[in-house]
Amino acid sequence: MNELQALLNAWCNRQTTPEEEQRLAELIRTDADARRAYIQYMDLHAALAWTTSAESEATPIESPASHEPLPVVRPSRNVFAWSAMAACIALALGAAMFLVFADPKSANQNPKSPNAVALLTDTADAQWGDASVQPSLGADLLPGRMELVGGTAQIMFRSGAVVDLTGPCQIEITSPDKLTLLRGVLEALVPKQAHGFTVIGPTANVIDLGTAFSYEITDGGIANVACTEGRIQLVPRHGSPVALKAGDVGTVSNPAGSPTLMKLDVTLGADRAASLVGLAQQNVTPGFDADPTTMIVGVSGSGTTHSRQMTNALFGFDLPPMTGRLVKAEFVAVKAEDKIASTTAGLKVSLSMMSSDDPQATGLDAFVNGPVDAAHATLVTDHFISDQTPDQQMATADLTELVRALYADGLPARRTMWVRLSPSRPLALDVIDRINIEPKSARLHLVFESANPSRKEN
Amino acid sequence: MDEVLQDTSVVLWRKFETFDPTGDFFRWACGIARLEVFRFSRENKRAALPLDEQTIDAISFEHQRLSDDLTDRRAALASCMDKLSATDRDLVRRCYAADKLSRDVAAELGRPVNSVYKSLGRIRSALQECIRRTLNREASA
Repeated sequence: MNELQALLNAWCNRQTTPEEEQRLAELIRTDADARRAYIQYMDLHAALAWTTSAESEATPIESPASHEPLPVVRPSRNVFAWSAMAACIALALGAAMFLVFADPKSANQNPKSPNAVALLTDTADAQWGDASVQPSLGADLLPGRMELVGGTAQIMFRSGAVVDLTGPCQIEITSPDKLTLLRGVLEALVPKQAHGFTVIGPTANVIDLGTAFSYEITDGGIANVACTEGRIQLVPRHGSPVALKAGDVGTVSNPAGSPTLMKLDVTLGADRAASLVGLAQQNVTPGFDADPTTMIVGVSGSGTTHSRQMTNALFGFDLPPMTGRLVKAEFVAVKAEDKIASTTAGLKVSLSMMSSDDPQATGLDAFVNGPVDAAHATLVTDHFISDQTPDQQMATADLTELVRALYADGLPARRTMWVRLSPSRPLALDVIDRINIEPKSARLHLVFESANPSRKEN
Repeated sequence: MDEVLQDTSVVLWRKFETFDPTGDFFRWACGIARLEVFRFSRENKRAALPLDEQTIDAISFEHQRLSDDLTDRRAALASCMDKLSATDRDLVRRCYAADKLSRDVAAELGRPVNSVYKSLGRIRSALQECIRRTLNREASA
């Protein structure tokens, strides 16, 4: 047995050392013959597992050697079975497995559906809306609508993107790299070669930039998008695209069903929020994201070392240009605490939790929203004034009015509004372990109603 | 790493039982495998060979080029399996199909695990050789 054969054999047995794996990889990299031998060996390995396990499903195995019948066995938890599967993997080996899909020739090996754009790779208790069309595992999926009433299903697109659906959920598959989410929630895992995979929603699209994300359309039509890895672009129907990074959460809604009114909230993940702390210490306000209806960031505090000081934090916001009638102004503090960051990245906590009798929080990963409580925050207008006087304070219930007044005043090119948290009322939130919430970032949401309904059909 | 493989194989092969064996297994399996690799290699570097992107491209290219050949080889495999000795065929079946670990197979047969691994390597080599001859014969016929 030559070196290559020995390595391939050991690899299929899962006996290789890291050094041997390096060596095997080196051979495959440098030698075209080795590459071909590798592919053939892995294919044999996979074929053995498949044919053998298919036989064993069909009939009890007779053991010719011992003449004793062996029990019928199923190809479950078997290292060999797995590693045969790994043949495909092997080929892929990171390779993003390519081809079975990417290769039009092999895709056409099943001539039943040359137009297939996706493959049903997994289901669990899946109930499909259309009883007459019950796709089976491994089925080719053509462009069209699918409704999952219950259970879960996993679809792999030809582009390589993988989408997990949880019923009830309704989607429309459009092309190998595009799908429309009509209702429900999906999670997408998009490998590098499928960059640009797009999920279209009623109020916003998500363009993947190589990552993992989840997308939910609530019954009320609100789009919740969470980027769990990498980077995505959230594109609201109206307004400019916003880039979301791992841990960020975006919510797009159109309040009151108005087609011209679009609200976009972005909650920065813990990492990003923390990275912005430095900016705020110099009282520099990062200003707006591209979308004038949303103001992101404005981070204050002294970072990870003295988070408690942030209860007296000052958040500065540049007011955006007026783009319509101001409907609502809202101030939200965002938590980003290191010790629970892993489970709460993107957790959004409103200051009102302190006085809320019935927090909607059911766990650390819950989203809690609410208006700012006047007891916890004061608004300082125009300039930051160190000794605030009562008439400079304004209950945040009046925030909308205040902002409106600022605009009515004739908004100069740049005007900063400040929000200060009360030092006497530190924030606390009853979530499981009564973890103290120390806001590290804050946002001002301004919702405008567009004066120009022509964008409606956009 | 074995635990990770085990965990993953449970997930993977659980589905096996619900898969219609007349379906296009390879496409389905490779679809799943592709996903598993993707997930896997993020958590466990040794789940995949340390191949760089260019090599992966080269493999992909070669795999597409070989797709007819691989189909022929899988067909030839069936007759080659019949040519194995009963003992070897039994070993392949036990190792590849059994719902057991290879060390259990070894124990069952009263053989050291390493000798089982060695036999498997020998059998795979024999099958490769048989497939090669079968295809050569067909080509010259």
